[in-house]
Amino acid sequence: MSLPKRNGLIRVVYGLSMIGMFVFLGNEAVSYASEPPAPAKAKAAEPVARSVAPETTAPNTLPIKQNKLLKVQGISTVLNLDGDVEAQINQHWLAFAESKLANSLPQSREVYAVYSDYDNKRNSVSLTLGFAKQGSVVGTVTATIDTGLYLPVSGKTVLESWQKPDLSAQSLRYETDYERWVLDKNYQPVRVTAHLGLR
Amino acid sequence: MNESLWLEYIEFMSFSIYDWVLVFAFLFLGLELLNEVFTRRFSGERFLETLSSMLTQVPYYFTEFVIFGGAVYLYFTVYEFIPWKQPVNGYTALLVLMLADLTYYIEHYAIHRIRLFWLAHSVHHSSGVYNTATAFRFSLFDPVVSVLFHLPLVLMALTRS
Repeated sequence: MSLPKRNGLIRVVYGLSMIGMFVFLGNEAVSYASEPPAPAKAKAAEPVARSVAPETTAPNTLPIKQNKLLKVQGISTVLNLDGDVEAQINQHWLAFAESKLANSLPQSREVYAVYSDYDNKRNSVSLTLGFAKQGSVVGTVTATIDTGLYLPVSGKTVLESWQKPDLSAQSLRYETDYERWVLDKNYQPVRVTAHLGLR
Repeated sequence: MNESLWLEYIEFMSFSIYDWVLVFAFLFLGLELLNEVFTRRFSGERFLETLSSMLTQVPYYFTEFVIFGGAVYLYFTVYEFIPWKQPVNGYTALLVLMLADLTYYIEHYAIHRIRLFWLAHSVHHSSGVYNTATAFRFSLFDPVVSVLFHLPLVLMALTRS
């Protein structure tokens, strides 16, 4: 029994299509894995090392409206998104923990991490760690969380949330995003919710 | 990437990439039919056989939807009764890959050897026309068998830490 005849040209096209398929699928897989969360670049996409317990409820995916300006008082730094972002964030948390400000944790035990002042040219962003403003404290800066729509993402940091594929369809504002951390009595993170500003 | 992102990535690979493979399957099938035309092998009978292979996907997808939907419920119910739980990490992910592959091997061996399962699977091998469409020729009952054979994998009791 002989094999069925093959048309030479179609055979070549078939082979090229097969290679094309693998190249295409490989590219899809790689581009998904390395897709940077705008405006940050790939390195900025590294997850933050601090771990928190998972939320007991399903992540909230409905936008919430922030009606009031929220002022966060804390210490600020500029993150270079071309560098090791995770290390810079961890370093800033360490600085926050060692600052005098850490002694005045409010009863709510909530700490805010505010990402603002995105600079596309320098590829940098300001990170302010602090509490909801209660009074003036020397040596602190104030970051303002604007009013408007925010998408809460439970159990994720802002950087992790940017990487969520289902958020790519959302029109993110990239002006001010923030994380709300709740700490336990030993100052260990209990949970975190990222809030991404929507247009 | 952390665990959560890896899981999302694998989910993407499982669904999106597979969808694209189906699109490419149409391209390959088109080229195969074109080849038959050029080599004067094409006939109405062969085309209808190809079409019937493709059309088995309609009832197959319907039962797959119902059966796999029920299977997810079954798996989660069984999972709740398992006293041990394992974290998702690189080692367990590798173990899943290997056990899933082994399961597929055992399943395939069984559906060719055990008559009751062969009854379901024989549709896949019932065509005399071999092309890309034949690869997608399944019976209504193939998903049922698949669900049964994959049930032991639930015993791994992987949980998101």
